[in-house]
This record gives sequence, structure tokens and C-alpha cells, in this order.
Amino acid sequence: MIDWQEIVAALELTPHHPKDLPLPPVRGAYCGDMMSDVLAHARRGDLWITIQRHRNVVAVATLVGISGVVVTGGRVPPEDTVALAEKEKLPIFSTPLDNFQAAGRLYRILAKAGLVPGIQGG
Amino acid sequence: MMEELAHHILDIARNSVEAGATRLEITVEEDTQSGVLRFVVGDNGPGMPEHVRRRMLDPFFTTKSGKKVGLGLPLLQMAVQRCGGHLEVSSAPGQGTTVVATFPYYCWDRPPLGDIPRTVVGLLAGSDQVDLCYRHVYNGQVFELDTVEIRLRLRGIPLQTPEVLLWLRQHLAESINNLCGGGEDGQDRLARRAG
Repeated sequence: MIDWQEIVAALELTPHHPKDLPLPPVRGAYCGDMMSDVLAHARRGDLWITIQRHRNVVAVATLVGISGVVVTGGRVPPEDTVALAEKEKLPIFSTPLDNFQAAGRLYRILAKAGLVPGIQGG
Repeated sequence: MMEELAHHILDIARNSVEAGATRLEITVEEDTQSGVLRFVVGDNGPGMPEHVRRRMLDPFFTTKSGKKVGLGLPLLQMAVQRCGGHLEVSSAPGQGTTVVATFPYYCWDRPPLGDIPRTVVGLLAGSDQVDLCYRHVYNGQVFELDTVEIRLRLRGIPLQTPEVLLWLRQHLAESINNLCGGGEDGQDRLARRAG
């Protein structure tokens, strides 16, 4: 089981969703900025790392069953995206890290928990 | 956004067909001098009533039953906005729908045009009730293909015959290539068209 606190600290996340929003379990991760690619390849329970912050992100995340969105590069999701995410009960964060750094730090956490296929925990 | 503009064209045109259109007019316009790439997808479908038109860019709106999200136009709008282009949709009940997407030609974030012959043939293969006019304009030079004329020349052989579709795909590929990439600097031009 992945500890959200650990992810929040390691990825330097700022939440943009209501404090009382329950955070779903994280089972993996996907990193991508092209919506059609994320629709095709991300999986239910993934944390999604992206530079995109358009409200379409919320629609794609909801369709896939993403457990949370991490908007990178210090970009802050605009109000309409945040409002839509709240309505859909989708956790949404921002981080000053870029895609590579955020994915790298998350990879380490997921690998430790045995959630990266082919990589043993430890 | 999607990988190629052709994927957006396919998506929009499929919506037209699913909505009941029997004729599609697709135009791709490349103007390298003024730096504009525009595509137009027009149909003779039922058109959108006001309440649909108002929400057509809302990703959580769809007219299809059993679906929660409708991403066709929202993703196209996102692609257009990302490059500083613009999207216009005109539609009214009984008057069909026309989607015009305008992109700056030279923009790193613009998806490449992609595989138009495959898109056109894919649309035709998927529905035998549809006629399609494809027009490609490159710096004022025009190539046009209309399946109404092709059907006449086929004298009863269905357009969906695999050999016909294969020919159509090759014909489109060669014609568009001649139009846009002909001459000695063809490779260079092709590379630039890729985005």
C-alpha cells in the first residue's frame, strides 16, 4: 500500500482539491501530455504526471479512473479545472518539479512497494 | 490533443456520420506563405440544436447514450488553443455542421497533419451510405476528389471493394504528395509539413 503522505512529500505536491477529499489507492503511474496517449495507455489507479492543466485533463482522468493528477513545472491548474476536479472528486496537485524529476521520484516509491512490473521492492 | 491532425479530422467526421450525415466535405488548406494550416469538416447532418451547441466544448457533455464524456471537440479546441489558433463551429438544426480549425503553420506544438489518405479511406470503409469530397489546397494549388464522381466511373462496383479502397488510398497519397512535396526540395517540404 502506497502512503500518500510519502508521495506528497517526495514530489513536493500542493493539493488543489478540498482537504476532506478521500484519496484513492495508488496502484501505478503514467506520465504523458498527449490526451489520446493517456486515454490509450494509462490504467485505473494510476497517478498521472503531466504538464497539461486544461479541464479536459479531468475528463480524461475520470474516464481512465486515474487516482490523482500531478501538474508539473510549477504550473497551477486554472479555476475551471479545479472546480471540475472537485465536482468529479478527482485529487489534483501541482509540483515545481518537471515531468522527469516527478516521475523519477515516484518511480522510486512505486518500485519500493513492488508496483513497478519487473522491479523487486527494496 | 491527439498525435495527428488527421486523427482529429477522423473523429469529427465520424461524429458527423454517426449523427446521420450522408455527405462530408473535408478541406485541408496549407498556406506556407502566410503561415496558416486550416482544416474544415462540413456535413449535411441534422445540425446541432442550441442546447447542444452551448455545451459542445464541455468534455463532460455528450449526446451519445451510455457515455459520460465527449472529447472530440474539447480535444480539438485544446490542440488549437495550445498553438494560438482558433476553432469555429457553425451549426443549426436542418443546416448541417461545419467545423473550422485554424493553426499557425509553423508552431512546435502543432500536431503534424498525419495520414490523410488513411483517414479518408477509413471513413469510406466504415460506411457505405456516405459520400465524401476531399479538397487539399497547397499555396493556392488545389487537388479535389469527390466520391460521387468516382462512384459514377465505377459503374456499379461498390466503393467499399477492397481493391477500390486500396487504389483510392494510393491515388490520394500520390496526389497530395505531388501537390505539396513535388520538385527537388520535396523532402525538405515534407519535413516542414511534419510540424
